[in-house]
Amino acid sequence: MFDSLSLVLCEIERLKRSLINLKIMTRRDRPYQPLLLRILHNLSAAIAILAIITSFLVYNTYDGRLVKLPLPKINDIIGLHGTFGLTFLLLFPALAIYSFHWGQKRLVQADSFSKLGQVGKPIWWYSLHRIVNTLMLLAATWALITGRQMKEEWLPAGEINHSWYYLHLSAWVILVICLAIHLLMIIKVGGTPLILSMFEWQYVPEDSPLLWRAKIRSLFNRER
Amino acid sequence: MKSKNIILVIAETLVIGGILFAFISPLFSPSEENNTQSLNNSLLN
Repeated sequence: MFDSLSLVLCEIERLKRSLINLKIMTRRDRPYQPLLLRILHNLSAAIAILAIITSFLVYNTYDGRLVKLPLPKINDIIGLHGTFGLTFLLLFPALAIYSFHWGQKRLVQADSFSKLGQVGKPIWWYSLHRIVNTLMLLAATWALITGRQMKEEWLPAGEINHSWYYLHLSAWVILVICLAIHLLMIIKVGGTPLILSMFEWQYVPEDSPLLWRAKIRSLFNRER
Repeated sequence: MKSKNIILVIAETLVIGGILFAFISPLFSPSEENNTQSLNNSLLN
C-alpha cells in the first residue's frame, strides 16, 4: 500500500519536473508573445483582414475602374464591410493603447531611422520591422478615419467620385502594402517560430489574466 | 534618465487622435444633422 503510494508520489514529482523543464525550454527556445498582445493582435488582424477582403468586393461590385474580377455578387456587401469596419473601430483602441504602452519595444525606436543606414545587418531588419509595425497602426487609423466619412448610399448610387471615397481607397492600398511588408518582416526576422508564437495558448504565470487589472492600474498611476 | 521617443509620441498622438475623430466625426456630418432634424420633425408632428 505504502509502496504504491510512494510510487505515485514519485511519478507526480517526475511529471512536475518535466513540466517545469518544458516551460523553461519553451521560453528559451521559442519567441514568447504576451497573452494580451496575442488576443488583441489576432482579433484585430482577423477583423482587419475580413474588412480588407470585403472592401475589395465592394470596390469590385460598384467601381472596378482599375481592376475588375469576375467575382459573384454578395447581397449587402457594403453593410458587411461596414460591420467589420465598426468592429475593428471598437477593438482597435485596445490594441493601440497596448502597443504604445506595454508593446513599445515592438514599435519605432528613437534610433530606428539612424539604424536604417546599416543595410542588410540584423539591426536593419529589426528597425525596419519596428517602423512597419508603427506604420500599420497609422495606416489602420487612416482607414478608420476615412471609412467613417463614407456614406453607404454613395456607391450603389454610382457616386464614385467623392473625395472621402478616394481617400478610403488610398487607405486600402496603404494598409495592404503595410500588411504585406509586415508579414515579410515577420518571416525574415523570426520565421515560423515567431509566427507560431502568436497562436500559442500557453502563457507564463506573470502573464496571467488575473494580473491585467493591476497592470492597467499601474499604467494610469504612472501617467498621473 | 531615459530619453523620450518623440517619433513614438507623435505616432501615438496621431493614432489616438484619429480613433477619437473616427468615433465622433459622423455625429457632425450634414446627413446626421438632417437625420436628426427629420427625426425631430416627425416627433413634433
